Amino acid sequence: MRMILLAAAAVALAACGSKADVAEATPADASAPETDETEVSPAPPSAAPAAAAADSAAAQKWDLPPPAWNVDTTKSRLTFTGTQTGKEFAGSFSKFAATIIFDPNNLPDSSIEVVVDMASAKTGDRQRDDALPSKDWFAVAQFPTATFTSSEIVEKGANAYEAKGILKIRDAAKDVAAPFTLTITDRAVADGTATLVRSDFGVGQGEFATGEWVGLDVKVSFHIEARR
Amino acid sequence: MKAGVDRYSSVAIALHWLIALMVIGQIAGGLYMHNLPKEQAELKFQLYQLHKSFGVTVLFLTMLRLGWRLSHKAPPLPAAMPAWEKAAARGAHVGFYVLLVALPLVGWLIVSSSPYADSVQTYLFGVIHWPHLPFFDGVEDRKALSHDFAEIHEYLAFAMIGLIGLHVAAALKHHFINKDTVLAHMLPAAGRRA
Repeated sequence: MRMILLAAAAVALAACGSKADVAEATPADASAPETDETEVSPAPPSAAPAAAAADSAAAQKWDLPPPAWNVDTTKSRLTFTGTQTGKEFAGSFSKFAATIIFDPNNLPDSSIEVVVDMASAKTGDRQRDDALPSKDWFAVAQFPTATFTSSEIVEKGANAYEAKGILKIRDAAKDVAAPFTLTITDRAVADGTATLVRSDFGVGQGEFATGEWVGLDVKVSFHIEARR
Repeated sequence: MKAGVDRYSSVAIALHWLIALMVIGQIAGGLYMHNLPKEQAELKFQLYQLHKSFGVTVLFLTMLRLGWRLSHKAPPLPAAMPAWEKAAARGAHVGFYVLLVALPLVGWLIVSSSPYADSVQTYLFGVIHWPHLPFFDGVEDRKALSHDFAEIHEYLAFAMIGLIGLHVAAALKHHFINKDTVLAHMLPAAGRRA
């Protein structure tokens, strides 16, 4: 039967900025030259956040907009667990896209947007997987995608962040916060979890609006790997 | 008595006992699952899936049995039986066939009209997709309709229980009181009277 989705993804990276254009916010910026050090791209000076600018000489480096990250779709996962008749089950969305503009040193200009193909949800059970796309659940014919759009990304400790934003599933939009950890080596790896209440989004209509057969809480987890 | 002459064919005997076993299991399982509390939702859900699977199986076996019965003669009832007993026996057999077809069909109606129908597709034994009947898309109160079908299903099940009781009692009466070959008609070779 059913569940939810979630959506949130994040990534980051410390190195210096390439010339990703924040305004466009498309992941297509893969074509951006991989310059290693500060470069020549025409970053608008006005983009420098006040906080970073106040931060001494090193801040100069961060005057540039945060870079765009290319999500490695073969290694990234968007999964969920729920309960049906009290028994836990797990599923995943095989298709989702994330547009990640992130710089740990420039969080105000960082952003994350995730679009999830709701028809790609699978739980390894035919009955459930038949139900998920149907009108009482994801209603994919009417609402093919769910989206998470960050409004703010805040630091929560060493390698720990929280992406706050709006999650839209079906025709319901709700503020959610997705905490995640982030490590950056040659790539950025982010992991996070958020627990959603499916009834907040109208996932499970009619006889399924209560948790009698299918639990209301759905834990959504993401593992995102990305490169600049 | 001579085996192979005064008895049902092997196919009819095999189908009779196979269906008998399944029907008794369906009755016991149906009563049990129906009375399970919500706390045992997982067991309850899985038993309903199994009940649907066996119900469809009984329907198919009954079709097979009816086809066989119409193309193969049943052994004659004892000549000594009073006419009313013969009529009662035939009537009971017809009643079985009616119930064996009606019970699964009404079960199918329950499932198809249920408000859960869209979210719970039927997979026979977890494998073969079994469609819902299509008549109920526009129905306003599917819960009430499905409940009505469930009531009918229940009445038919109790009729089945009554008929089985009558059938078994009659068979035993023939065997132990009349001491005729009526029960032997339907027994596998090993259990037949010499």
